[in-house]
Amino acid sequence: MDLAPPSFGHPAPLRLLVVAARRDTDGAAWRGFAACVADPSITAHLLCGAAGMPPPPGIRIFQPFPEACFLAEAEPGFNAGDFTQRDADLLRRLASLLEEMAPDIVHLHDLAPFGMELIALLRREHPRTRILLSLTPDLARRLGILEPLGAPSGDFLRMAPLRRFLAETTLLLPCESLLPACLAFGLDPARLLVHAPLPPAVTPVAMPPLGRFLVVAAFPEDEADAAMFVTASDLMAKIPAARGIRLELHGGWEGQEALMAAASHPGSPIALLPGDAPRPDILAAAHLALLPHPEGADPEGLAQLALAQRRPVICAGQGPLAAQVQAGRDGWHIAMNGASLADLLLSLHEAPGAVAAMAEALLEPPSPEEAAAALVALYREAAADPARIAPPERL
Amino acid sequence: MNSETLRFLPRALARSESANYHLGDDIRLHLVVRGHEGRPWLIVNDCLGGVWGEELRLPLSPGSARSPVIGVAFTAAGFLITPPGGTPTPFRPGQEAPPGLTPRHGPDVEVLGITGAAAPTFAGDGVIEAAAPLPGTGHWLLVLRLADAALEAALVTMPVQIGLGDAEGLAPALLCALPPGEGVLVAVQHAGDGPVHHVELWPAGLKLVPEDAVAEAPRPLAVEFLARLATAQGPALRELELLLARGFTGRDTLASLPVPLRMQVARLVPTPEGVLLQGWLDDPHRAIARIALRQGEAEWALRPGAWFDTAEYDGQGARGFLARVPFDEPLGEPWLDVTLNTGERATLPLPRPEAREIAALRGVLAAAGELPEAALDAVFDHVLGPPLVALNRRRLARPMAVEEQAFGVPPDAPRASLIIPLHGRLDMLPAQMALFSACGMAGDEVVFVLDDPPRRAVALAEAQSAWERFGVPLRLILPAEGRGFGPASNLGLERSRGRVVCFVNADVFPQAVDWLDHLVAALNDPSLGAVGARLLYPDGSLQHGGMRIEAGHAGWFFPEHPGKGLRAPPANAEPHEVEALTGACIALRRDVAIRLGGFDPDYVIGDFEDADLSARLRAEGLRCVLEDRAALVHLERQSQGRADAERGRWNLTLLNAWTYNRRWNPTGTL
Repeated sequence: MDLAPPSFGHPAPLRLLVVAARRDTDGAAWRGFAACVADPSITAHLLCGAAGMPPPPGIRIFQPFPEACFLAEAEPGFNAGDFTQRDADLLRRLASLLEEMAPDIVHLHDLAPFGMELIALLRREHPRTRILLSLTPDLARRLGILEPLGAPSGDFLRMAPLRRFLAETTLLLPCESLLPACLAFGLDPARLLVHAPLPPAVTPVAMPPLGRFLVVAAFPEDEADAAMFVTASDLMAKIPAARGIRLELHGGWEGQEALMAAASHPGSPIALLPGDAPRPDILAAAHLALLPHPEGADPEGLAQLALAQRRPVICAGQGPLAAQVQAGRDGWHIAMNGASLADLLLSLHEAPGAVAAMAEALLEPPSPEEAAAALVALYREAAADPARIAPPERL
Repeated sequence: MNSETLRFLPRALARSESANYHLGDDIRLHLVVRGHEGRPWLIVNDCLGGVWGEELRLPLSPGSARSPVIGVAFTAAGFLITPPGGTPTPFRPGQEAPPGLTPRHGPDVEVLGITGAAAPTFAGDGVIEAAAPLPGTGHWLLVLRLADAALEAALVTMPVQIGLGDAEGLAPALLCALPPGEGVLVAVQHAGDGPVHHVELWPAGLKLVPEDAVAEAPRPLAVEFLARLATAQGPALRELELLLARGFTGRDTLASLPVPLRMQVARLVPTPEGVLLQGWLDDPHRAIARIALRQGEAEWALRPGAWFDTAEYDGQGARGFLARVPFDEPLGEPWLDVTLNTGERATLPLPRPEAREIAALRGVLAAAGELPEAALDAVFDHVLGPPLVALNRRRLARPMAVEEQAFGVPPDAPRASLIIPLHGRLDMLPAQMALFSACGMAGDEVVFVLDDPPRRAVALAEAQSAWERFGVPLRLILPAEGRGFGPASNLGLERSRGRVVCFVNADVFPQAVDWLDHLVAALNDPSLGAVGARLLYPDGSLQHGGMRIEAGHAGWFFPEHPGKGLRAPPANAEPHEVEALTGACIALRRDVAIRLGGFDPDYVIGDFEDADLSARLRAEGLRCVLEDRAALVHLERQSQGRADAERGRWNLTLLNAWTYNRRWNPTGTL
C-alpha cells in the first residue's frame, strides 16, 4: 500500500484523502488530488469506486495505477436511490485502509459509491477528521437537496439519515444559489461554504472566424427540448439571414423522430452529432455553448468548461446554472423556447461583434496554481477549525 | 368372499376415486361414480390386457349420489352390481367371477360389509357393529347383526325393547332391515353419552357385544347412519326418517321448513366468556321463534340482549348478526336448532371454531361493520366486550418461546434502555439506528422486539446490517408469536437492563440529539411517573404535545392530542405536566415500570394502553410530564381513519375504548 511514512521531527504533513465516484482524470476530484500531490506539505491519497474495473480475485481495494490512488469495488453494495452502502465486507476493508491513512481531511466529491456509511465510519473511527463534501448542483439534485423538476417532495426515511450524515460534513458549494436549498434541507449554515471549484484544465483558444456561426448544444434527451429545437429550426430555415448558423446537438437525440426530421430539412441549421456531451475540442471550435436544460449531463461542469475556454454560454434564467452563468457577464439568458432561441441566435449572427466582445470580456479564471493554493488553504483552515468536527445539535 | 357393500364417501366422488378388483394385471371390476349428461351414474367396467371394455352405466338419484352405497356380489354367473335403491344388475353375465380377486379401492371408498359363503359366526347372539348418539333427539343409533338371520328379519316387524350399555331398564326401539347380511338399523331412546359395551334385546332376550370383542362399539358420525338408512326397509322406516330429520346429523335442514328462511354462521369463536357467533340471517316472515345452540343434549338459547343485528348485508338479502352464547362446556360438535312459531324445527351446522384468536378477533370486529353510536354500550357490554377481552387474555396467557440476538456489545449497566417493538415495516430500523448514532448513546442500550415472527429473517439481516453500518449495538428479541404493541413492549421491559426504560415506536426518529438526556434527567424527580417527548410530523407540525382525555364517540372518553397537525407552539424550557402521554415515546424509571407491569395487555394490538398507563401512574400519585426539549419526529398518519375507513381497525379501537372506559370511567362520569 502506498502510504507515506510519518515525518519524525518535522511538522507532520496534512493527511488528505480525496474521495470520488470513479477515477476520472478530467474530473474535479482528480484535479484537486493532483494539485495536492505536488504540495510537499500534504500527503494526499485518492479513493475511487472501481467503476467496472475488476479487482484481482479476492481483492476489494486495489491500486492498478502508480499514483496513491486506491480503487474499491464498491458499486455492488451501493444503492444510488438512498446513498447507502450495505456491503459490510467493504466497510471493514475501508475501515482498515482509513486506519492506516488516518486522514486529517477527507474531501468527498460524491456520496457514490461508498454511501453515507463512509461518513458514519469516519465519524465513528476518526472523530477528529474534517469531512468536506463538494456539493455540485448535480449531486444536490441526486441527494434531493435540489428537487428535480417534477419530482415529489422527498420522503423522510430517505432524507433523515442523509441529513444526519451530511450534518457531519462541511459542504463546499460552487455558488451561492445552492445556499437556500441547503438551508431548506435543514443543513447547518455554519457548515456551508461557497468555494469555487478548481477550473478545468484547459487552455483558452482563439475564437474561430465569425463568418459561419457555430453553436454547440448539450442535448439532454428531453422531449420539450426537442420540440424547442424543432421550432427554432423551422423558424431559422425560413430566414435567409440564418443560413450561416450551424447548431450542433450532442447527446441522446436518437429516437427523437421530429428532431431528426427537422434536422434533415433543407436549410435547417441543426446538425445532430453523436457523443454524450460536447468535449473540450468541440467547444474550442464553436462560438457559443448552448445549455438548454438545467439538469442532465452536468450542465454546470459544461458551462465551467466553456467559460474556461472563453466561450460565452446561453442558458435559461433560472436555477443554479443561471447563477453560475450570469447574463451580460458570461453569456445570455433566454426563455427556453424555439422563438426566443431563434431570435437570439439570429441577432447574434447578425451582430457577431457582440459574441466576440462577450468572449473578450469573460472573467479570467484563476490559474491552476492560484486555485490549488486556495484549495490547500481551505484544507488548512478546515483542519485548524474545531467547529468543523463539532457534533450536530439537530438532525 | 361372496359379496361386498361399498360406500363412496363424498370426497371419493369429488376426487373420482374408484373401487377396483384386480386379478394379476387385469382389473376385473372397476366401479366409479361420474356425472354424465347432467346426472350422476355408477360406471361399471373392466380392463383386460390393458384394454378397457364396454361400460355398464347405472343411473343414480341425486340424493343417493351424494354418498352411494353399492352392493357387489361375486357369483358363478358373473358380477352382480346393486346401486342404491336399485335391483342387482349383472355385469359381464355368463362369466364366472374369478376367485382370488384383490380389492384396490380409493382411500375414500369404504367397505361397509363383507359376506362370505358361510353364515356369519358369532361368539354369542350377535354383534354391535356401530353405535352412536343422535344429537338433539335423546336417541342412539345402532347397527346390530344377529347370528340368527331369520330372527333378525322377524324382529323388524315386532315391538322391540332394548337395554343399552349400563343403563337401567329397557326402552322401545325402532328397527329397520338393512340389505341381506348387513344387519338391522336401530334407534333407541338413551340419554347417556358413554361407550356402549353391550346391548340387550327383548323379547328375544339376546345379548350383543361389539364386533371382534373390542371394548366398545365404534361410533360413526350420525351422517353415516343416514347412508345406511337409504338402504333400510321395514315398517319403522318413516318414523326413523323423522327422527333423523329432527336430530342433528350434520346437515342444514332449514330448507325443509315450510317458510323461506336463510341463515348462515360464518364464524364460531369459542372464548372463556361464551361463544361468539357471526353470520347472516334472512327471515322475511319473522317465522323464527327461537334459536338455540346445542351440543349433545344440552342447549343454550340465543337471548335477545346478546344478539346484535349489524348494518351489513351479504348481498343476497341476509342481514349480518353477532351473538354471544353463554356456552360453558368444552366445545364438541355444536349446532343451531331453529324453531319456528309453528313449532317446526330445523338444524344448522356450525363452522369449525376459529383456532387463531387474533384472527378471530379481527374477523369478528371487521364483520361487525359500522356500529351505531347509540348501540355501542350494549354491543360491547353484552356481546363483544367480555368475550373478546377474554379471548385476548387466553391468547396472551399461553407460554411462548423467546430468543434473543445481540449485535455488537451493549453496555453492561445501561443508563437507559430503548424498547422498540417492530411490526410490519422493518425498513425504519436502519434509519432509526442511523439517527441514534448521532445521539451519544454509548451508555444506553437499544432493544428491538420483533412482534412479527414471519419476518424474522429480514429483521435479523436488518439488525446485522444496521450494526455494521452505523456502529450502534442493539439487541433483537425474537418471540415466537406476534402479540401486539403492549405485550411486545412488556417483553422488552422484562429483558431490559437500563435504570430508565423508554418505550419508542419504530416510526419515531430523534430530531434533537440530546433527546434522551432530557428524558433521563427529568426522571430524577421522584414525583414523576413518566416523561414523554414532544413529537412532530416531518413537516414540523405537532403530533404529540401531551394527551387530554376527552369525551367523544358515544360519550366514551378518548385520549386526544391537542394541537395535533398544527404548528408546534414554542417549546417549554422545563418539563410540564400533562394528563396523559403517548406510548410512541415515553420514559419511566425501570422500577416503576416493572411495578406497574408495563402496558396493560388487555388493550388489543396497540391502543389506549398509554392512556391507561398514565392513569395508573396518576392513581399512584405520580405525575406525567412532557419534556419539549426532547424533540422527535413521528411518522404517524396525519389523519386517523374513523368509521368510514378501515372499519375493523376502528372497531378494535372501540373495543379498547370500551375496556378503558369500563376501567377508568365505569359510570360515565369521568
